[in-house]
Amino acid sequence: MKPTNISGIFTALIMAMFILSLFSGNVAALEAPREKIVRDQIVNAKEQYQINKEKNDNTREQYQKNKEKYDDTRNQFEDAKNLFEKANRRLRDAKDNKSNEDLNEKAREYILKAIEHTEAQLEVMKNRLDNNENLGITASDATKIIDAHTAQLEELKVKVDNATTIQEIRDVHKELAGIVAKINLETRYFIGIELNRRIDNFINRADNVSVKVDDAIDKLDAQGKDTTKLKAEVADFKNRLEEAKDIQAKTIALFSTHSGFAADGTVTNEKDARDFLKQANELQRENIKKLKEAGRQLIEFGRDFRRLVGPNVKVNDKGDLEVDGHATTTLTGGATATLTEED
Amino acid sequence: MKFVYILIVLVIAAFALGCVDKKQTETTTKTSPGETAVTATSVSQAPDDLFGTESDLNAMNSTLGDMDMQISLVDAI
Repeated sequence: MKPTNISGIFTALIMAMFILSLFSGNVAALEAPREKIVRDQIVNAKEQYQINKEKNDNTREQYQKNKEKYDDTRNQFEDAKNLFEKANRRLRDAKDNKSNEDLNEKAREYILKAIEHTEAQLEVMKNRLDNNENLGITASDATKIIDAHTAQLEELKVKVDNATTIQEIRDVHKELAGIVAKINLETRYFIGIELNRRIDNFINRADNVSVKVDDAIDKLDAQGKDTTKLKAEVADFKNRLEEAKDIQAKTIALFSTHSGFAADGTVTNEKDARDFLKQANELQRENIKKLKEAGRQLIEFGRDFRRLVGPNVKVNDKGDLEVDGHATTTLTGGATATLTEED
Repeated sequence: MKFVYILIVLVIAAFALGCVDKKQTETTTKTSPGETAVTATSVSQAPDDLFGTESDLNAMNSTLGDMDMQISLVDAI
């Protein structure tokens, strides 16, 4: 073969490689926008997670502070109330000015502490409703109602400071009693809504867990393991879950009617509101009891599952139940099943 | 012959560019599953409590406690 021919073939070969290598670059370039979108989505998800985490941490921290303040003001209120009641028993029939002034002072102090305690209760409630996870409930209406009550209480502070006669103090107390009665009912109503949300979430996640544990049992069955006990525990768990769903349906029906409350959460009829809340809150307590029983069954299941497959069982980041180190026993399911929630 | 050398340099450059892009693709793919973990909530829990049930129930108890916040004033002054 002549050198010119060799050079020609070599050149053609290199040209072909060059053209092909350009395609590999083009393919990579075509994939780049898709990869960029995925990368951006991941970055956005991370940022959003961080924002939500910080917000939740702040809310939780604020909640703890509000709750501590609530406990402090409750103690101060109870002390002031006791002192007033003692003074009232001792001095109510006294006619001298000093005794009257002493009793007025104790009454004034008791009312001021009652107002501070009520305000602390409102702050705890507001924090519960401000939580960004409470989307979907009447948080803005509730916040308006809470702010209006706080303004009323601030006015009462001025009135009680300016009161000079026992009658004026009695009038302030009567006004305070009316506001407190409403706040007590609204607390049970708004926190009741929040409790419903938590119960709903628990039930939904527990449904996912049911799917997971069924998958896990199927796979153990396929491996020839004795799953009799696990099946009994899961059946018990599911029964309690179904009972909880029935109770929750009744509770939600009551809250939908919200007898004694306007749509924005304002008390319209105290007696009706009290009756509605009595029924609804009893159902909620019963349901939490039921869910605790279901939860205990799930923990029993976890214990026996670990006994059967070994100690290295965990629910992974995706919510899948898996056994470490044994690919064949890795138990995967569909949606996230972890029940873990915020405090 | 000069033309051949230029072509070789171009081929190497084109391969290198292609490889760099491919490497980026692999890196992203590799990190993706890990990134999804950021949406998962991690709370310390008892070993047998695989699904974090206790944590949820405690949260409900805490809410129930707040529902019981009631202020009891004296009947009258």
